[in-house]
Amino acid sequence: MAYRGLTLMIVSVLILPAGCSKEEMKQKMEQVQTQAQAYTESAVQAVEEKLPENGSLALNMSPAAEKISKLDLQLISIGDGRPNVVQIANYDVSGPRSFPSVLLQGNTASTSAAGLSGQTVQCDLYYQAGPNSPVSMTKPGGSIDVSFGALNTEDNALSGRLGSSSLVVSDGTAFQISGGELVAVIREGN
Amino acid sequence: MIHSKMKTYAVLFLAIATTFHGSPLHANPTNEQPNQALAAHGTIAGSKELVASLYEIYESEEKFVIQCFDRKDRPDRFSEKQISKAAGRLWKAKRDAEHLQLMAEPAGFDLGVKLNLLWVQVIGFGRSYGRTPKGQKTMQKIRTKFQRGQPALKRFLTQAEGAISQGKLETFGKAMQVKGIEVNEDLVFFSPVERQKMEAPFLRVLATGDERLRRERKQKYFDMAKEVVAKQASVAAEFSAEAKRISEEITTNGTATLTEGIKGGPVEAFAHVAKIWGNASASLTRASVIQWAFTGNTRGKLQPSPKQLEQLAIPALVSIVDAAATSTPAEKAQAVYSGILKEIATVERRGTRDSISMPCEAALAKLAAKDRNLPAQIESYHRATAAMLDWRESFARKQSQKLATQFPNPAALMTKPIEVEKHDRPSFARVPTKTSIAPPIFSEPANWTVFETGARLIGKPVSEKRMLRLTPTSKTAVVPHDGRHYANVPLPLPSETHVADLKSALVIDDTHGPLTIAAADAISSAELQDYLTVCGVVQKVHMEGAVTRFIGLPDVAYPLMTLGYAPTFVDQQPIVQQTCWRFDMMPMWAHNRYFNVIVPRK
Repeated sequence: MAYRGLTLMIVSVLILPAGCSKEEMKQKMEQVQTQAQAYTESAVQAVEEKLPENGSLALNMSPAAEKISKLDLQLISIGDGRPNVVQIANYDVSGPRSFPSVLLQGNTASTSAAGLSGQTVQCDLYYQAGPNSPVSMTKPGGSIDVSFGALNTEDNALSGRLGSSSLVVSDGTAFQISGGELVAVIREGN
Repeated sequence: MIHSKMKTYAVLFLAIATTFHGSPLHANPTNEQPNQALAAHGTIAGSKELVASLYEIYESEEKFVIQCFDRKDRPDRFSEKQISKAAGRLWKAKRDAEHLQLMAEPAGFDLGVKLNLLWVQVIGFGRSYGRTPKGQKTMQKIRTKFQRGQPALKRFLTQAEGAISQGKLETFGKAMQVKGIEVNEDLVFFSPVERQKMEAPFLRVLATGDERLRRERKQKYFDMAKEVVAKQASVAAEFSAEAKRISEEITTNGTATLTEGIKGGPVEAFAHVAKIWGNASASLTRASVIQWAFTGNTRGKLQPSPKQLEQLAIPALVSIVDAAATSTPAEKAQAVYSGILKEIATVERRGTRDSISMPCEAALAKLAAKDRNLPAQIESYHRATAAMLDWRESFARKQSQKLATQFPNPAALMTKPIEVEKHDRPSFARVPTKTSIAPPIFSEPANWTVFETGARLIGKPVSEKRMLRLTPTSKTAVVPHDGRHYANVPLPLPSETHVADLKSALVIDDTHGPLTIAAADAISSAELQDYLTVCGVVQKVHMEGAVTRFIGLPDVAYPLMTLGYAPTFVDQQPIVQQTCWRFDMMPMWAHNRYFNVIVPRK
């Protein structure tokens, strides 16, 4: 459990925006280290306590890597014979986006979220770093493979690997994703 | 592909245009064919023929004027007879042009300007000739003739005044015209001062009678136009009865007879009622513009107004959905629901967003309830697609903002006066340094203007708001009229990849359609090829009379105006004198709400 807490903190450390000055980096490192210490201490005290799984997404992309520390998955069945829809997001999709913002969505024959384990779903990926940033998405006709791995029944979370994809960006630049890893917490799937 | 299609259409157009050379009544001046006549709407019988004959007179007299102008250093070599004849002919033709203006023909203004320019030149040649020895001799003869003819002239003018007081104004007009030709033929050589003295009595009587003749003609044409207006407006009134009939049939049978015995279900019926609303809207536009053209202002409001027609159409459309809710069996409910959503979205793009979907909400819910699984399916569908559409919308919007920086709004281009780059004006014409690219009224000869406009506009990038396909299979879309211009855009654009991608993301296939209005708008606009913005280069410009454009509006072109709105005219300038510009565009990219299509360059 304590180990899990540290991992989360390490993940947070890496979410540094490109172009951070040395001074700012130093400050952030110090902040995080203090927090990490506090967590470790409390974790040691509550060995039996389970920290909730929030989910995570690590994207290998150029120019800058992205690591997101919250990820939910829903399997939506429309229920009239259409394919089902896998919807993976780091924010509540019924509300406004929070940033950085990511949505992965694809159609699947799988009838349950648990049943995705071992399946590969071709997804559209949508990404926006900040509220005024350009928007990126998979090309029309293109997609990114999401290969689901084991289901963690304790956390009700699915792990998965991302394939490669070149994205289009609304400002005309290009964007490559060369793989990634995810852990998605299953929410109200049908 | 598109470029060669444009070439094909251009060739076709040229072929048609040359066939009509003798009676160029259907085309308008373009940058490629600036000398085409302005089209006439022909509301008053005889106006089309008069337009054609006046353009012919202009053409032949212009040749004469150019000849003389190029020899103006040797006035002694002018043909006295030809100058004389030209003066008389042009004087009469100018009056005919003014008559055309009373008939609310924009060509009357173009011709008035052109003929007056020629007339001024001919007077100049006459006076130059008058100063030559031969001219002096001729003038002496005419002075004598005039003196001797005074008593006869006095009698004639007294008779003319009599005709005025008896209200026989057309008789007066005809007689004065014959006399006037003679007077103009004779006086073309005289100096302004001497001429004024000689023609003053004639002009005085002419002015008195002309004023009354003008009023009489104006009233007569207004009365004639009223009949045409009434006929057009009645089509709009018939709309309600027709919509009611269709709604009742759908309620009872689930089908209705639409056109020529063809029956349709609720989705076809909805589309049909939307179409006849469009037809009624076109009809109302034609009637309104005829009324404005013959009253000289836009104060006249017909019943129903475009807003009132919209207030009739919306409940009519809601009643179709209600009828569908009554008669549709459970197993068809989803397909009908989906189909109606697409038709609602399509009509709204031609009118006002949300103006129909919101009033239809209750009826749509009733329809959905016919299938006990459908309401839950709709809810799930919404959850499955709303966020995705939101992402695509913001991507497309940002991308379009980036692309649009290269394409200015044409309104800015059209109003600012800029240098005349290239012109085609004849030798006698003054060439101004700066003119507006696409002037709002006929104030200079249309053929000169359209040539100069073309020189400055062809190949220029422009951005246009809203592009609407005329019919599901038409090869042309229109950009609605903005008060000054509209545009034609050839279809289709290469959007297949975007459409397929959108369809997949919307979980739509041949048996499952969109279940939200946003999804319906997305897929229907993508498949139909309606766009929010289209950017491209101007390939061709046409100059039209604004009233002619709308009086002759075919039903299918109703998207030229937003449903619920009348076309825009400015009251500060004579209605009939206002121009309408048509741009034929070569599209380079277009913004659908959910994607941008880029047309690859050849």
